[in-house]
Amino acid sequence: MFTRRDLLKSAGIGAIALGVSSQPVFSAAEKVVKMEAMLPPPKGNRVVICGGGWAGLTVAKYLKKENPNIDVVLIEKRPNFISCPISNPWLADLVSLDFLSHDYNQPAAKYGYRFINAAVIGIERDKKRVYTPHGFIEYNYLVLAPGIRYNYAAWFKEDKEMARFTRMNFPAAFIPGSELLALKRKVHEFEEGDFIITVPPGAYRCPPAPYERACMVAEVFKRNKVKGRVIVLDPKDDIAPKGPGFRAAFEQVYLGIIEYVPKASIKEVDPVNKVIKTTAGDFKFVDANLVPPHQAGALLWMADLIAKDKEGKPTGWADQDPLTFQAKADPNVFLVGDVISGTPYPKSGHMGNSQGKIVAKIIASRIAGKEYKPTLPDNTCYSMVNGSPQEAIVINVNYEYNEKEKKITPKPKVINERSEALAKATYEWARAIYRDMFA
Amino acid sequence: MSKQWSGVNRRDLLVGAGILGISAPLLAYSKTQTRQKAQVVIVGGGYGGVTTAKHLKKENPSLDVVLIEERPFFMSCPMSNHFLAGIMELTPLCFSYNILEVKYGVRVVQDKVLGVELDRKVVRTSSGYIAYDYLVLSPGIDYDVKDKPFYRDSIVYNPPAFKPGSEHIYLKRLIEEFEGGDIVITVPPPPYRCPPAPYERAALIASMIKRNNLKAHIYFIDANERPIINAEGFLSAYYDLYKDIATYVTSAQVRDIDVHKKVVKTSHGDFKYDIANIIPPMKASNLLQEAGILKRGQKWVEVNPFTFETSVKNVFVIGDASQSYLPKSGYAAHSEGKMVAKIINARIQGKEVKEEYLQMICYSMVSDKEAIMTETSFKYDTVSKRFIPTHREDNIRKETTAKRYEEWAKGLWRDLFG
Amino acid sequence: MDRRDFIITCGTVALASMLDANFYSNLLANQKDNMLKTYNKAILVKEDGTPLKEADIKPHVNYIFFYPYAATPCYLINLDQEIKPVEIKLKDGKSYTWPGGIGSKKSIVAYSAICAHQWSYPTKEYSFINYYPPDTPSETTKKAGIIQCCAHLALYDPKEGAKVIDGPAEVPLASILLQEEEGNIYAVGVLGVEQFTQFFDSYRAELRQRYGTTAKARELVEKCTVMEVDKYVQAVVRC
Repeated sequence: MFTRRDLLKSAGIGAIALGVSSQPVFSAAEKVVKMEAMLPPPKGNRVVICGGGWAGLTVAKYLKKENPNIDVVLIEKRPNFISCPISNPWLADLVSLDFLSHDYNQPAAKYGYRFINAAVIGIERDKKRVYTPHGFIEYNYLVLAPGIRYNYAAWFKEDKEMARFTRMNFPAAFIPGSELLALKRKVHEFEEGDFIITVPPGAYRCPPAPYERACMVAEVFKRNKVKGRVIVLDPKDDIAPKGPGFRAAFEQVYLGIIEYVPKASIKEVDPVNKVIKTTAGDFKFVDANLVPPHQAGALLWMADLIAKDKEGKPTGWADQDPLTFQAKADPNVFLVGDVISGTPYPKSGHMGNSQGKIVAKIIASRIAGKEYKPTLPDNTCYSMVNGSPQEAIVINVNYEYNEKEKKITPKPKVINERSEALAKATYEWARAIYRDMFA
Repeated sequence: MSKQWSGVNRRDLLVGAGILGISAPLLAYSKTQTRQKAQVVIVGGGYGGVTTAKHLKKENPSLDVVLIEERPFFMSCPMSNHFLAGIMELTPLCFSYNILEVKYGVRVVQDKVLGVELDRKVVRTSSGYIAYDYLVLSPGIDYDVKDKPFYRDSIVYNPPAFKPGSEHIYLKRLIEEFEGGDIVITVPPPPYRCPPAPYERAALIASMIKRNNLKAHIYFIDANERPIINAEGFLSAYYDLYKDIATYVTSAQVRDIDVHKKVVKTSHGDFKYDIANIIPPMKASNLLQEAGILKRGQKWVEVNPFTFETSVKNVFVIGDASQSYLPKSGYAAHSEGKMVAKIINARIQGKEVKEEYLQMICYSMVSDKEAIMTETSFKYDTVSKRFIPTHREDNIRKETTAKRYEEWAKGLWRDLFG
Repeated sequence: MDRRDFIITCGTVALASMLDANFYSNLLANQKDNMLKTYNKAILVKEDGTPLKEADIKPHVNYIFFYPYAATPCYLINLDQEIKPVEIKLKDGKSYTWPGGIGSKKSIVAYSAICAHQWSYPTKEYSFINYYPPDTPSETTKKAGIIQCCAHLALYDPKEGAKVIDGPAEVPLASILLQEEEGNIYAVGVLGVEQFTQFFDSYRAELRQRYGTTAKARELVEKCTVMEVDKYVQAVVRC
């Protein structure tokens, strides 16, 4: 019998208490003291892009391509880029980490934008300033592409220690870095019993990712001959997107390893006793990939650009124009990538890249004083559903805009028949899009 | 450990959280706000910092230890030349910080340290203050480009790859895509991080050129008159294995770099390159300057060479940033981290550390299969009450030494993240 | 059998020389610092399954067997001279008395082959930690008659309870207590600082691969097959 004291001791929850890092560091209202300019004020037009993910990188490159005279600054806190797409095949050692890793200096040098490796610690929209630990940077236009953050409060309310405990012990691994490395280690060291993957409710980054991940975890179990089951707890009624393709893989490739549980909305997560209570029953686990609901990254909260529902509560996602990506509250700010809402676009790397190109055109046109009628992005999403032989399925979506109804309609094309050719295409898709952002 | 927590009551935990005041909000760094406190704060999650944190908790689990690191995960510089030369992939070099918290109870804070206020005993981060009783700074190096601004552009175009992350990935790509032509590698004047690294890197790139039968030549431009470590082993490898594809230029100063024309201008003439690995001079991390620990004009922090304590009591600087008897290396930082963990634990218990031991081991590949090595250690002699240094070099390249190299690194990683 | 008396637990309790059934429980009960742990009494056997006899243990040959768990390697060495008991003092203040060699010459000793520094151990592919007989000193450290780990140059003295002679290890190799009974040799316990927790933690994936599950790797053995290290390990790495 373990007591609370044991737990606290083992978990390192001592007298120190630092907040969970997914909380905003600065609110827009807070004063930032003793800060000096990090860069001289812009001479012409300066576009500052916060977030060096798929969307931010693309905006930076394509802005310079549109107009080399624009002063483009990309701020990113990570020392290098790690791709979330293809990270599931990496879990099963189908690709190396090299394949996912890219550097920031090369594209910056090549396309002539400035890369600043720093965290954004404050945004003052009235002064048009972005703060980093090294000082502030003034902008004419601001692009926020911070991606997602986890909403552990949906599970644990104000209990930040429980959130931290969960994040450390059962990382969600939908944000690249330590979490992905920790998840990989868990999967490869797993020996026996149930491994749970939770699918978050509502909008979340990369809709097919939990199902693809289930296949890749199952692949490792199969290869290691461990007596393990992967249990996918999904609040939805069925797998989506690419439902038939995933279902076929679950039932044919990983029969007896993957168990899919639909309509399993989470009621309570108890990471200490390793139990998840859902509307489809209670589940005990040996190890797990606990993925809480997602919401827009901290920078949007910091900049006070989160949409509100009718009752005035934050929706968790950006409040932006669905066609121009312009923040509704600020014409000089553009919100792009996984943060956006009010569109049928899935949150994916490909989408971020596709939107980035559009946003670059919109900003460049605005700077040039020209009219520009925005086009619509597209999305392609491959999922690896078998590790030996490598086989994948794919969805490709184009969008149509109805001016009268002001509605964007998706036109999806899905290939649910898994094949080795599609697995090859998966890597080719990744290479091409990495080239687009980095080479 | 976590596997055994079967009987824990959720309510117990909640109560505990309340008692400990865990609901405190996150802090901005305005001076009026409440601050948090930990007994030991460690700045920098490299070899030195991780070792100190882990060994402190291992010896004394009830200590409050906070490790602050801005990187999202650990990436090893040791063995990264293997990665650059394509004989090892990236995954084995990377580790999650989660394990330190999950297994050892080290509080890992991913944040940027903005400064240290020694008089108030607080570390200022971008999200608030953390107070300490003992402070261990292990922030590593920065490139010293102040006097030589031409290095600034070069760092962007010609990644030095002496700080883990983008630079390594970029350089790896340059090497991977290299089809032939001239390669320039420069070695800065010492001290710099990992003395044998540039020499090993040159050998591994030469070895890659040979392996792939490329029409290429390496100009290896050294500020020193000979390799500053394992000279015999490196020189014989260069001569025996690479004399047709490499030129070793010694005692050469880099005077200018034109990143667009791709020329390195040196005291020994100009060298054109297709790809270059320009390694700038180094100094202790800028953070130490901002904290007021590094005095103006100094490049490295002066510490007591065996306790690593600075002139400020209970403030320690370990690893590459300090001026130590040991060369700047991951393994030395690890050895220092263990020592400092012992010293702090002893002090907390009102004791003193009596006998001690410091060690630095560096292995270097001289081809894709063979390696040489060196060891320096300081052992406390209880009779003479002095630290006795030993230095050994094994300059005969061997495949078994390359195997030992791998085991050396794995052992280190087992210790840090096992 | 005329065995020398030896003293355990800092000289506070003297124990009889005959190793009767109660010996180790007495020893445990009287252990102040808790440095002895008994496991299964496991008989040492040859590769053909017959009991290993003293005469089978050639002097200065490095033998390997697994004890107390299926996956934890130990070295058995006949040092060809009388090995006397040694009092081992640890840095943390604890101490224990290592009982010395067994056999007619009291020359046979056994230690855990998991390096106490960073847990390097002999696998079928490589062994970095090895015994260096008196006539084959280490090229690097020039020392002979030692157990040396080539990864970080940790040196242990097999004549003195695997005490640390030099290098980064903080504690000696754990010693395996051997007992001779009617010509057979048994491993009965582990004395000193065990490294088993770190071992099983560090090599989880590796052990699962080799043994199927780590539970199998953790099974306590009742019989230990003794092999020459040079035959068990493909590449013995000496330095």
